[in-house]
Amino acid sequence: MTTVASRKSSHQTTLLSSLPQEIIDIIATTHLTPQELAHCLCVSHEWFDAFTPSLWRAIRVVDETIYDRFRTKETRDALARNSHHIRVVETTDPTFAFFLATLPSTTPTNLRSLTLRLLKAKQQFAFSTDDLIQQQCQEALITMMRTMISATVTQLLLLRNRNLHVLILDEGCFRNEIGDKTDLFFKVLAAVPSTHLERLEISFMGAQPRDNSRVGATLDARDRYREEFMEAIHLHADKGLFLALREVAISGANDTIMDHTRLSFLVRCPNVERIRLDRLDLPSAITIPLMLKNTCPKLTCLDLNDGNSIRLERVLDSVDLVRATALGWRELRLPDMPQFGASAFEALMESVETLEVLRIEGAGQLGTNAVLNLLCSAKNLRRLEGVGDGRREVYTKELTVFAKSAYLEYCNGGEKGRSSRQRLGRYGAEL
Amino acid sequence: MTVILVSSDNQDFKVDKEVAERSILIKNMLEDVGESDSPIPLPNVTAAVLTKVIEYCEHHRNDPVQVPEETDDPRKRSNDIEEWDMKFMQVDHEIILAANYLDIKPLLDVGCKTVANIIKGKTPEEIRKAFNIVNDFTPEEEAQIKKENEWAEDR
Repeated sequence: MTTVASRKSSHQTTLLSSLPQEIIDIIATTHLTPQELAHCLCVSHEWFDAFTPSLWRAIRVVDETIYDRFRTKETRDALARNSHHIRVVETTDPTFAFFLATLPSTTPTNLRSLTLRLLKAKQQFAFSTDDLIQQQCQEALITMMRTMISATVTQLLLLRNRNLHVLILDEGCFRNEIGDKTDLFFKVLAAVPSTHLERLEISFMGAQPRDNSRVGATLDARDRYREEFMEAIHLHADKGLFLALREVAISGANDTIMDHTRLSFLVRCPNVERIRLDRLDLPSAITIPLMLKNTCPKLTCLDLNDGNSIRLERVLDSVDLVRATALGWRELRLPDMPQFGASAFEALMESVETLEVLRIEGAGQLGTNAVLNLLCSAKNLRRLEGVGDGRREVYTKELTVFAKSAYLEYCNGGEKGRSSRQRLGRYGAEL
Repeated sequence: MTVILVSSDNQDFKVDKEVAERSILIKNMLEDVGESDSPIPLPNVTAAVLTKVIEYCEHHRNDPVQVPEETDDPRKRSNDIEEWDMKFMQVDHEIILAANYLDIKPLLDVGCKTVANIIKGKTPEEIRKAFNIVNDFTPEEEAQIKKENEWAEDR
């Protein structure tokens, strides 16, 4: 690289006049850091104009406040002046979120991607005296702002950015830290712009225990959880649909028993193809098969991960789970499931035509070599991430298997055939 | 099977279909036209540049289709350029333009990385030297821009 850098030649003299803005943008946004872009802005008037949108395209204020990142009045003025260039925001600072949500209508943001993690924001709002935010607002508003809560700011920001493609929120965005403990999840959800949203990630870590948690979360309440969930689905009947949404990731509340009916919003996402679920609490985990079956008809990719303390296998019916797709699985990743046996495997074989990626960390009841059957017939399977059976230690190991060619070699015999037979045999033994 | 590409200055290039199809533009054209021997005109690419682009596509004819990098953060992206590609890119920006027009993503990517690597790690003055640019800011203007963008510095 240094050789390229040091070898000056005349063709480099006309960088900006020879390359269209479109390519300057690719160079700037995919290969240069904010610091490097800031240097480009200092080069000349022409460079200043060409690189300014890229410098302001993505702003991250993470684990610090707007006053740590934009320390001086000059930088904050520049931020306000250039906010219409901002497309990507990631922040943990409610004051920064508020700043963006209350910009004058002459310089609004037009975000494509928003990541708000407000759970750990100890102090709700910080203000300094020379403040730009004070210029933006009336005195009376400032008083109000001081008691304003993360959820309101989140709603404001969502209502002012209707072209979001990617949205990542955490539990801190759904509640009132000051005084009120009301769950504002559904209110915030109502503010989410639905037209262009393609990917939604929500972490419910830190959720308040639900009101009737005194009943305790037990397996005996299984039917009640399911009923509650089905009832909640009907509440969404008249709400708008997230038609562009293809990908959803949800992190549960882990040990805390959260309101599992929150997940009923998935019924408004009819085109979701890919769902990732992590650290679900017990009621949410119990309702997974029901939830998937009744909400997302186009689901073909599921990545389910175990909680730290809840053993999913205790509450999950593996057969129901594997049957929860209408179109057949393309990618299926499951945790260690000691109950996973012949009938679940039979259900899995229904996806044999579509299956491309499979991970089962443990399938306790599965007979030795059962997976061999799958390997031979799943012609699209290109990745097997590790499957254990009851007799052996669970292992996670990545394999690349081209089942169809392996199978053909196996059938055709010959030198190659023998080696592939040995290879399959080894897989079978390991599996 | 071969296809014939015609450059803007009317030179014919006989190329393996597989090689030509590294260009998504040409691939789509061939799919639209179906089985046909008619030459493909490329009015935006000169013979000199097309020679280089074909050389690149020949060298990379067996590369797997590029998987997009997961990260959006330039700091985490790889700026490595294969040695062959690096020597290859010591030509002018016309190759980048041709890669963009012909829709050959890996070549466009290498071209953009090459330019970015010239900028990386340099002060504004060093960038001016590298690209032979005259500073048309007053010292006051330059100081003001530095102040406004102080937030972007790594710390």
